[in-house]
Amino acid sequence: MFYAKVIGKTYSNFKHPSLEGLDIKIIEDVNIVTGKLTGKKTLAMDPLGVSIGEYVAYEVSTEATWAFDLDMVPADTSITAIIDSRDIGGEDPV
Amino acid sequence: MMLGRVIGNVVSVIKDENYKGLKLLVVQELDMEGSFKDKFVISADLIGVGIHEVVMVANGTPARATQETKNIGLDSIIVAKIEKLIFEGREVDLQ
Repeated sequence: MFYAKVIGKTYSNFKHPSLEGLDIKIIEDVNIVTGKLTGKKTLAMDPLGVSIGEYVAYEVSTEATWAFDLDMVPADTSITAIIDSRDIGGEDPV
Repeated sequence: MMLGRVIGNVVSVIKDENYKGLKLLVVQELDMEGSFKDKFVISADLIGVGIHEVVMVANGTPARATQETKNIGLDSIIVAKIEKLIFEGREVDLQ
């Protein structure tokens, strides 16, 4: 899984049936040690309804299709967890 | 998920049996500012999009996670049309 921040959202009212009702967010990778944005942005399916500014973990490739109740969802990047805090090498958790 | 713009299509008579009836479009990747990146992909169009439209593409094995493509050997499908991109409080112009 990868660590990222939700930095934006999209509007799409014409989707494949299996994506109906799912949010598409814009996420940017974050270096989990430094906490800095890396500039690598992508779109991600959001089954959790995460709000902008939250830190998340996301799945890619085949695992991303399992993040949904439906068994067949064509998603190659899905947000699967909201990260509340991280503790790297004994520093204070963020 | 890849953001892209449909820039064309391909026609093929001799192809994998399972590709019969599939519309194959050429999609060029866009970055989140809406400008072209140097990456092109041939994607199967499952939802009926037009040329120049901004779309979202699923690549890799997830492209087979739909009823229509589960038995077809392909790794890129168009799954949504993207009307608006909003980040850093502003709307990215996709026209």
